[in-house]
Order: sequence, then structure tokens, then C-alpha cells
Amino acid sequence: MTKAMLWMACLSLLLMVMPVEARQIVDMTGRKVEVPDRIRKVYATSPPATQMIYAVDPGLLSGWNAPLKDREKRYLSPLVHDLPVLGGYFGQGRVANIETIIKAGPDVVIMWVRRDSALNRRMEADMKKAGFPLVFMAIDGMADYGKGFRFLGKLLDREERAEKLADYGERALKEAAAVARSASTRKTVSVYYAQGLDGLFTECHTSRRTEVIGLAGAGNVCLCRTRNDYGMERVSMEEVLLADPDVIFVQERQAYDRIRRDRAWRRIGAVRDGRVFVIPKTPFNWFDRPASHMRYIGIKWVMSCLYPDLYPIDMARETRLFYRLFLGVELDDAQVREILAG
Amino acid sequence: MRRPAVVTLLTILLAVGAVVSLTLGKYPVTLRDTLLFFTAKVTGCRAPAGLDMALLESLFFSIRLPRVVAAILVGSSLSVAGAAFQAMFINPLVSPSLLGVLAGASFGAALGMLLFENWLAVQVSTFAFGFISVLVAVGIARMFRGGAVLLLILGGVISGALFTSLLSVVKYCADPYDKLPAIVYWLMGGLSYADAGTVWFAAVPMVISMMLIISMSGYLNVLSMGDEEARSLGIPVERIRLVMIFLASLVSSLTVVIAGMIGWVGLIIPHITRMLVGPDNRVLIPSSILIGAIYLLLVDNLCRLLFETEIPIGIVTSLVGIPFFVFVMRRARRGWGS
Repeated sequence: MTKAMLWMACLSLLLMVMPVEARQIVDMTGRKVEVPDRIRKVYATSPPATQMIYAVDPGLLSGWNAPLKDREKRYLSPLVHDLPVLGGYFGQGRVANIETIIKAGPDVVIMWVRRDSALNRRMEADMKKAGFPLVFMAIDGMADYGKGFRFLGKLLDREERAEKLADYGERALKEAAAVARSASTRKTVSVYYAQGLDGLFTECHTSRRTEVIGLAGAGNVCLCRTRNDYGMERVSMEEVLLADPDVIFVQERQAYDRIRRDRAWRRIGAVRDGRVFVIPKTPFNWFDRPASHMRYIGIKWVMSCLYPDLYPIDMARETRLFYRLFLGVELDDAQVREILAG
Repeated sequence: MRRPAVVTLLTILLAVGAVVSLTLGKYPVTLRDTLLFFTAKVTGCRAPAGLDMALLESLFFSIRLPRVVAAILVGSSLSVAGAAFQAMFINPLVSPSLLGVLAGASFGAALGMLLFENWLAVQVSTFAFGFISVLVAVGIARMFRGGAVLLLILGGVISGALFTSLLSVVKYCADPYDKLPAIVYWLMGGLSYADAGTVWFAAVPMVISMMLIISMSGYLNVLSMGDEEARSLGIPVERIRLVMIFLASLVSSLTVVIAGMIGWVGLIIPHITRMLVGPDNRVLIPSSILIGAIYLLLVDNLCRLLFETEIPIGIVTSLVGIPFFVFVMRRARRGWGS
């Protein structure tokens, strides 16, 4: 019954799609895909890709992967406040329903892939059935986001805008490389990345989630091999004591409070010197979860925490600029303070 | 072995295990420093120069001790709840989760994490829902006039299923990037969350409940003969059973508050203990408490020491527990009720 309905929907969709002029593009994994000439609506299956499309043009988004919170809406264009929640394919919870996507009617579906996997194949088959061209984006590290933006610019016919974004990012990375070079003459700053409510979840130094730490010329104290993309490695308080990091970046406000209060944590250099920083995360996280192009501003913030002397940047001004360029919002002083306070 | 002998031996084992566990950890402390530190502590003398007393203090007393105590409390609570349930329901395959307490507490924890920013509120919610789920189970049984064992078990099945599905609803609603991972990891169970405040706070009701269960262990012997027999001996079966269920649920809920979901311990430890000391609950209950504590302490040490990053203890309790269980079953000549 639902299958029949699905086929009906597919047929009607196909009929709708038929007369549209199509062109062939090569996606980021080298596949050839037929896409409509003019793309009006896009659905991306995971938050980092959705965020990138929002940055390129909020008007193109056909839906979110997870519900927006009110505090997030204040920092996003009104165009996207009431978009439907379509879910996605990223780990757990909120798996997208193909019929909901059909209802939203995007012209293309964009999927973020890390490697060839059975899931990609299945998605491809599902989307083909539903009559959507599926475009893969492959972004491994920070260096690839520029490429990603330019790819989207071409695909969505927003090349000039995408170029601006890619350019900002590339300049940020160049700047980081320069700062890291000048920092390399002194002792490497050691960093601990604290996740979870008690701050004892972290990521290995090989993880793509802590790439920013390495790019800024600092060292992640947790030396291990990542098990998977998901991360969240549990460590014990003793290991953190042993590593005695110079700086701690904290994901959760609760963990921050705990770290500041707790007797054991207070023995750590970073806590003694007051170098524990809560990561800004509104509307999207600056550091990780999801790891996205927000790290363009994230890496500047990280460097301003690591090297207040080497990198004297006016973070408030930079935040305003980034939010204007990438998110299309004008911030007042109170908002800037709120964002930077995590 | 007679009762005092067994219990004494296990107590000594547990004490030794606890002390040894205190000296184990990722942060290297030489045996000499450890001895010096404790000598200084016990005798009140000045510590020799070069010994970082403050560091060792927080290492032993604020990092390791709460965790060791947590392992002992959680292991013993789960085992005693399992042993009491197995006797009451006359069924060796029953675990503390029978009346839905662990499912309820898990749901409470997840809901708390979804709604509140403050950890105490999460803990209260965990505890409260552990209890609510048992009330639901008992309530369902009561609806059909009875505290009869079968109805209670059915009530427990329904209540457990209800809260398990409610937990899925919470997971579905949780933010996939910050809340959901936190919930998932918490439910995998682990003693690394045990903070001193919670442990000391929970220790009081846990120890009192265990004492009460020990003091009532004679009644358990009568209950395990069946309701008819017990009534003919003039025992208020329903009342005793409700009190027991209350105590077992209390300690089980508190284990989730301290360490999330830890499976298998409540099922296999009473079982193994029964094979070692026989079915008399007056010996079985205190021995279960001690063996459960020793077992979880051992497993938690493995979790803390073996790998670069910690594995959730719930995974290890089942992986270690199952082969051990099979081995003991093969060796044991003492069956159920012989």
C-alpha cells in the first residue's frame, strides 16, 4: 500500500521533473550526476552540509536535519525559521523519511560521504527510486571546505558568493599557518578537549574532530588512535592530571562549572592559570559536533585563546564580521558577548 | 563452610581488593610514595620533602576512593537485589530489572538529561522514575487482585517494556550532537561518572537497605518455599514481599544514579554465590553482597587500566561474566535448592 503510494509519488515527481532542462555535473567523488538546470531547493542529509548550503544561500534550503532551538533562531535568517524538519542520515535518531523528503520536493539531495560504504549505495538506490539526483560531497579536513564551497557555488549557480566564503576560509587557514609557524619556536601549548557533562570524554590526536588544535600549532594531549568517526573517547581524571594540559576547551557549560570547582581539576595547569574556555556553539558549534566550516571562525578563536600575545585579534569584531558574511545576521554587543561566552 | 567463616573470608578479600585498587591507576605512583603518604596520613607526621602530598591526596581521596567505593556499592547492591528477587520469585533466572526498575531509572536519566541543565535534577529524575516503574509494575499486579508472583512478573514485563519505549522516544527527541551521545554513554554504564558527593550521599540509604535485607534474609527462606507454605507458617507474605521489593528497588535505582546501566551482575553473582555457599539465604545474601562488590571492583579495575581510553563497564560485565558463569556452572555440584 505504501509502496504503491510511493511509486505514485515517484511517477508524479518524474512527470514533474521530466520537462526540466538537465545538465550533467561531476560531484566531489567523481560521479557523473544529472541535475536540473536551475536548482531552487536542496536537501542535505547531514548538518555540516546543511550549514554550508545555508551559508551559500539560505533560500535554497528545503529543510533542517534536526529541530531548531529558539536560541539558534535568533542567529539565523528568518527565511529558515519555519522550514520543516526532514531528519537525516547521521548516526542515530531522526532518520529521514523518504516520503517527507518527497513532500519537501528538493531538486537535488546532497550527501556528505567520507568513504565508499554500503550506506551510500543504499541511499543512492533510495533517492533514485524517489527520483532525486543524489550528489556526493567529500570533505576530509579543513583544507577541503574551500573546494566544497566552490563546488556548491557551481552546482547552485552562486559562484560569486561561494568564492567569497571560500576565500575567507582560505585566508583564515593561511593566517593560522603563519601563527603556528611563529609559535613553533617556543614550547608547544598542550590542549585538552573536554566533552560530556563531566569533561572526561575527549578525542584522540588522530581524530579529524581536533584538527583545529593541530592547525593552530598546539598539541592534543590525548594520544591514541580513533576508533571511529563518532569519537567520544572516555579518559580518566588521572590521565588528564598526568597530561597536565596548558589549555582546556570545554564543550558543555556544566563540565566547565565542574572543572572550575573540583579539587582534582584545580591541580591542572590550565585550571590554575584560568585557561579553560567554553566553546561557542550558537547557532552552530565553532569547534566540533558537528565539525563544520564554522571552524573558520573557530580556529581564530582557538588561536586567540592559545596565544593572546602572538595573536591579538579583536574577537568581537571578527565574530560580527563572520556572522554577517556566513550567517547573514547583524549582531549587537550583547549577542556577541553571549556567543563568545559559549 | 559455615556462615561466619565464609563471610569473614570474603570480607577480608574485599578489604584487600579495595586497598589494592586504591594503589592502581593510570597516574604512576611508586609503592614507596604510596607507603610514605599513608604513613604520614595515619601517623600525622610531616611528610618527607619532595612528596607532593596535595597531589597524592586528590589522587587517592578524590579520584580513586569515590570510584572504588562506587564499585563496591553498585556491585553489592545489584547482587543483593538479584539474590532477593531470585529467592522471592523462586526463580534462578530473575535479575533486579525484573520489575522494570532499571528501565525506569534509565528513562528517568535520559529525560533528566533532555530537560535539565543541572546534574542533581538528572539524578533525582533517575531515582524517581526507577521507583515509578516499580510502582507501575506492582500497580498492574494489584489491579488483578494480587501480589501473586506471576502477576508481579507480568506487571514488571509491561512496566519494563513501557519505560524502554519511552526511553526510545526521549532518544529520538534528543539533540543528536550533544544530548544524545551523552545519554547513550551514560546508559552504557560506567563508574567513571561516580563523583564523591553522589557516592557518599547514596551510600547511606544503600548500606541501610542492604542491612535490612540481610536482617530479613530468614523470611526469604520461607518465601522461597512458596506462598502457601509461608502462609501456613503465619508469615505475612504480601507485606514482606512488598518491603523486599521496596528495598531492592531502592538500591537498584541508586546504582543507576551512580553508574548508569550495568547489566548481568544482578543475575550472575547471586547464582555463582548460590553454587558456592548453597541456597540458605542467611548465608547467601551477605555472601552475594561481598562477592558482587569484589567482582565489580575487579572488573572496574580492568576498565580503568587496560586501555588508552575507558570502555563502558556494562560491556565488560557481560563479556567477563558469561564465560565465568559457564565455568562455574560446570564446576558446581550444588544445585538450586539441594
